[in-house]
Amino acid sequence: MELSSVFVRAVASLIWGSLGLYLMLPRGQASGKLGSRIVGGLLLIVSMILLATMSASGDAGVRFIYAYGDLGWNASYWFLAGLSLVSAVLMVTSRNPVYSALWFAMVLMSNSGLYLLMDASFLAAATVIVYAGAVVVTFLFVVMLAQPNGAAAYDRLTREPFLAACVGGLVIGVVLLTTLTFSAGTEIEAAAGTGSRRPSVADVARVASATTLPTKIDPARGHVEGLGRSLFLEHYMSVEVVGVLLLAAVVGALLIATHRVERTAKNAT
Amino acid sequence: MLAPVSILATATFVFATVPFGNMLPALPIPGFEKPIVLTVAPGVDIGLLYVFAVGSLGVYGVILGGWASNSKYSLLGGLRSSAQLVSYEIPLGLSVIGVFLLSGSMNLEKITNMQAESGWWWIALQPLGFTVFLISGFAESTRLPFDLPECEQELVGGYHTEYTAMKFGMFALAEYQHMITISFLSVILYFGGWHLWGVTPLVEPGDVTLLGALLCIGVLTFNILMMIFFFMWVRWSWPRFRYDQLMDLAWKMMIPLGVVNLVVSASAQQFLPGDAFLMKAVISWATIAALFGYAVYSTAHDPAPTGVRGGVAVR
Repeated sequence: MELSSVFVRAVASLIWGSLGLYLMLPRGQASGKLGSRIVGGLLLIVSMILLATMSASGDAGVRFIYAYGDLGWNASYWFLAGLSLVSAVLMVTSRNPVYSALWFAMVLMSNSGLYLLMDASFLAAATVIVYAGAVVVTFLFVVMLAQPNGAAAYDRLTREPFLAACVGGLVIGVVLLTTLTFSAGTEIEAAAGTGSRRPSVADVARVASATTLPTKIDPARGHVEGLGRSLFLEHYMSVEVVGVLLLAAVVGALLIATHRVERTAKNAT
Repeated sequence: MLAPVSILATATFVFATVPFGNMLPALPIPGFEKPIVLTVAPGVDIGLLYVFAVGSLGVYGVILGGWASNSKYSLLGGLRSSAQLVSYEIPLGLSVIGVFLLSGSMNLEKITNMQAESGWWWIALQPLGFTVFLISGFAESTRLPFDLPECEQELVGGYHTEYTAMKFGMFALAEYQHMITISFLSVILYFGGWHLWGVTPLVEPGDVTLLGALLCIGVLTFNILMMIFFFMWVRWSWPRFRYDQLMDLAWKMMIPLGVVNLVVSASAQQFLPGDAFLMKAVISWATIAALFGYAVYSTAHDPAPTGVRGGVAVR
């Protein structure tokens, strides 16, 4: 099958599917005419048939990656980078502190997505765990301070059929692209014996530590292990210093907190 | 609308890692020509960290739901359930470090394979870690002894009082997904995953048979179902904690126990040879016995009755 026809077919099926979904979704009081629902259902069926024939088209995916291999990577990169920037601006400029906290969480999520794209999966997970957890705590303070006042404008909008259809199409498209790229990528790697992906952060760290350290490091070792070795063999001094610094901060916080409690207790009596 | 969507999305992302078995062999059916790997994100080192990372985002749904409801009861419910979820994440993370130490990996696949090769389920070597993990897991999935997020008698439902229809359905579905995920995690980490002595074969990925694959799937599914049965069992047998008891349990019991478990298993791992599983098991059970003795002693010799609250010895 022609490559361009695979691509066109994928896009067409996605657009028709989204259109069918939009026509079928309920819309407020005028909850859709019967005719538009029938048309939407037919469109959905047509798009499903298109998708099914595409997935059965064998090795078209392998050729797909030769032509559009970097498309998914680049699209994700620009999407995440733009999302991060826009969320950062909105975080600073939004007036409601709750929205600021939410946008901050969005910045962190898109950053960890960027790390994931660079194959630094441990860094991505750690960012989400550490920072998102911290944001939740700030969030608690924000929520205690900022009470919602009255019903907001979006309280009256319970459904967004157009946006829902767009997002649904987008999600299916991304999944489709990833599946095609991934299965084709593993086949190519298996055939050529080399990885076609870009060098990751962990790869770079592994190579760097292998050149500077006398110990032999197995390149087949995982990211986490490579990172741990790099941290505790190369930078162990910095790790220790940071640990002591954090301990001092914890002790200081405890000291301040207990002191304040004593003072308030004295004031109360 | 953001709250139910975010809580369901995070629960589903975590649920996406639930494996249904080891591997399906190649079958002469169209679409099954190649072996299908059923494990979690094969080859990803951070398997379990991903679960924790995405799971920690579920708090947003709870707190946003409480805030956006524009109601005092929902806000209170959201505040205290987010405090509960944030608190119990710490012992949950602490308790699984023992498993990481034993397996030398965070890869769920490798953890299972280690248990299958050594013939020891990690529950035998990490009883304390499993206890902490299970209790924190109950709290994280807000099942009954810890279901403060939705105690009907006090808060008329908690953070999702104001949600109706499908939005409430999303909250409820997320809770049950959490339950299944926690069951699957405890089976993978502590009960050997799809390994059962003498039943599931130990084979290389290349030559897996259909019978072996089905046996693996059966064993794993049975174990997960037993865990879910245990969840339900506890639900109907245990009364709910009070809020201060809940926080005491997290900060004064679970975290110290998690640290003790971490120190003991790290020392055992460092000073004993890697395959001295019997010795490690003896050490960890002896630790439990010592802790139990200490709890009994301190309860008996505590001069102030405030040291004991609701039958839970507070250090």
